[in-house]
Amino acid sequence: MTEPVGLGIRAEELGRLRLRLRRTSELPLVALRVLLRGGARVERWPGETLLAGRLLSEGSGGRDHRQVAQEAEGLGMSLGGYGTYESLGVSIEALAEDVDRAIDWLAEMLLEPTFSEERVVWARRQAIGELRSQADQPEVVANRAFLRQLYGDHAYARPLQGDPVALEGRTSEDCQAAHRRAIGSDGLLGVTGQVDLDQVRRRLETSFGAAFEAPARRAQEPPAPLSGDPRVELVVPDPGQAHFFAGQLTIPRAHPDWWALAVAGVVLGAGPGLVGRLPDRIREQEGLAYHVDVVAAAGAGTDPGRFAVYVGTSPETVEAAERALREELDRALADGFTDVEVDEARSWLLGRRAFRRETVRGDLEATIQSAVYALPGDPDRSDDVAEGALRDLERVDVEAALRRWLRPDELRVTVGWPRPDQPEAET
Amino acid sequence: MKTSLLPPARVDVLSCGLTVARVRTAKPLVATALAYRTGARDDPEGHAGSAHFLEHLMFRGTERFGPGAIDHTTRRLGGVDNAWTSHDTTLYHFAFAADRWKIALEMEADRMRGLLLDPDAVDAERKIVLEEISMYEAEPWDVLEHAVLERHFGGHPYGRPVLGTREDLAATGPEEMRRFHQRWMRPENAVLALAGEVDVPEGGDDPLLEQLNELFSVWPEIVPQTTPRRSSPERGGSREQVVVAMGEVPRVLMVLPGPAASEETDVVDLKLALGILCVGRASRLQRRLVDDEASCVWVSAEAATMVEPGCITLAAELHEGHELEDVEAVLRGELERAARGDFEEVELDRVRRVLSADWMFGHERVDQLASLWASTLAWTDAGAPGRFLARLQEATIDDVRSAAAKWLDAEPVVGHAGPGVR
Repeated sequence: MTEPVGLGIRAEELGRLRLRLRRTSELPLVALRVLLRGGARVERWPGETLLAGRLLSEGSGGRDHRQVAQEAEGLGMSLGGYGTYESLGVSIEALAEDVDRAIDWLAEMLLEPTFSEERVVWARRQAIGELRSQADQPEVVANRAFLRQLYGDHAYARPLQGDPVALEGRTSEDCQAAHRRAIGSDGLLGVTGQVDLDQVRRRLETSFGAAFEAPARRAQEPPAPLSGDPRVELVVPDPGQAHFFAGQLTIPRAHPDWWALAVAGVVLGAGPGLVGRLPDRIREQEGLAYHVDVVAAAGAGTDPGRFAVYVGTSPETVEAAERALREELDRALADGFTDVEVDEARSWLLGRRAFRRETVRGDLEATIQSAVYALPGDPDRSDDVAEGALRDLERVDVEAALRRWLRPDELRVTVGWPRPDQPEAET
Repeated sequence: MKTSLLPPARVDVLSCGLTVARVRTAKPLVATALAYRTGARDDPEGHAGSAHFLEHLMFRGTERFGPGAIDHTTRRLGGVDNAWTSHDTTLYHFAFAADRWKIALEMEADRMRGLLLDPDAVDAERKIVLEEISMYEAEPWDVLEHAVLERHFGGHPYGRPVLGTREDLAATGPEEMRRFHQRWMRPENAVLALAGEVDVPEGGDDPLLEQLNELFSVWPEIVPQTTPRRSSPERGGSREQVVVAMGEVPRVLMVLPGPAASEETDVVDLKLALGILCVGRASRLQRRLVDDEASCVWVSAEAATMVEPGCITLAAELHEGHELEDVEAVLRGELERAARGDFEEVELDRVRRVLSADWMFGHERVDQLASLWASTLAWTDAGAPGRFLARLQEATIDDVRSAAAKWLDAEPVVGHAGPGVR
């Protein structure tokens, strides 16, 4: 059944695979993505999703990884298997004239991956190498400790790569098992570009066939995340800077408070440039940091995201930065916001919406987000619903949402201190 | 790929000296990019970091737009703004929905003629830049790159960090910034590019140009500004190595002399040669180092396009248990092979397709188009992007071999970083 929803998106089904097809006319490009719900949040061992996801582009349908790369690049096509906290799948970007081939390869990579032992060993090694590289970056190390503090044993607390111990000894059969579970779950496939949608539909039917006819199997939901100690301090590989994080869990993506909290976040500093109460105070007024990042519900998906503030500063000014942060949060909760602040923040969020679909990749992502995280009752019109919800927000709604989700006495704080004996680089 | 896919730009030079490029696309958005022909290369002696410091201060208040007002105005209108400084160029950009973008022109004009440079704001911003320097000093790749580029470029300004040094920033205050601003931030030294739903009339009146001329006509005379070009130091041909004892992961960086941006044909042919070496999973270095030998997590090879002769860099991050000297030997071997002209047509076909597609995907956004034209017209003419794309399609295997022989045969400066390097 074809049902046009907002923006000319065709919402259809291919078995239990939901399709979202949209024609754009700017450039002769096309973006495709197929995702299977589940992801790292339901994986059996740390790193399973990313490992299995990446291996989808390491050989399929009788082609090895070299052939896959050579043939794709011969068409100027970029493709890759991936894994996220919420899904596993394949994404492709190509010239529009190659959409048929792209669809064929999308299906081949998703449905016929090889999972050779040699490639499994290679992909494990890559994941471990990435983890080692990240361990050299002080901000990343501090952030990891902060996420563990917020999310406890939940998957969001760990990197998608997992950890070397969990990856050790994983085999082709482990990845095949992960793949089988993923294939059995709900899925969504999006295509956006300068393409004939009827032609795309026909090709999808040919390439995917009856692969998704059977009913979906739902993975067991993970326990809710549970935050830990209120304060964590650790040493990070930095010769001179301290890395300060503060925050707490907030809401999942489809929560009714989503837009109100987004507006509050922008007032506090989650918006553009250096504006917002927290960057104004910590960076502009007191000169304590180059980097002040604020997010209101970062990482939100099926599970709660996080309100978080990051400050990179010298060790001597950590205390001042934390004091400034707490004072501003207390002020926001006690005195609320001004109408001007709320209007500006809302205006920014509304203004940004025009840019969401500026590229084929961005357009596809917006479509998929709408389909996956639409508010209940109006699944694919969430672009319009969101705009209406933003416009209707009053200052009191924003303040109320902030008070529901920001509780300073429950803030978690992580401080990554520079390594006292770490020598300056010698050259 | 058809070069007609590059949206054409209408270029005008105003009586005030400002060069204006307009690119019309169908999206209901407009991006502005204002490029000044000044960068870290022009930092005065004893005041390294001036161009970058000024970039920060350009957001700290003007006569019409007080402290923070540029960012607040942008936010209120749902736009984004930012800037960057390189050795050659400083570029400021905005992007808005098409029904509210013209405020960007007023903000740019006021920064040019009415920057406040309040002493307290200068002091506060200096602290922030010092924190930024500390941030880069904590990153092993940044430390390695700085050390190798400093050795490669010798005393040339390209070898010094864009952010400057703590000592020089301490010596740079409002007066130094005012002099730098007045010298370089002038309409005749700038290019303004507008991309998106902008008016580009075929003939007759052009209200937008009239408005721009009025906004940017702030100085009574046109005073051309240049910094004398300096030659890059001759490389002696001997092996030079830099070691950085930092980080737990072995890293290698090799730097060779590269062409200037004006050597357009060489720039493209070399890009193709480096692409055969390292762009895409099917490239030589990716296959050998990342896939087959699995000694590296990643590897890259690229040429920095700069106004004066720039550089070519090859970089790799190693897996545990592999030696820097071994990876360096592989990189040298592949460079030598390339310099001998050992390329195949099928390799050229592949990289041509990849780079063409990358170019298209890399210029979908209005801010990308605006930045392309502003950066281009700052240093060359409006035909340059078209020539680049044409050469990308037309370069032959012999052209690529010639470029490789010319540019990949030099002795590089090599940097090693990691635990226990000597």
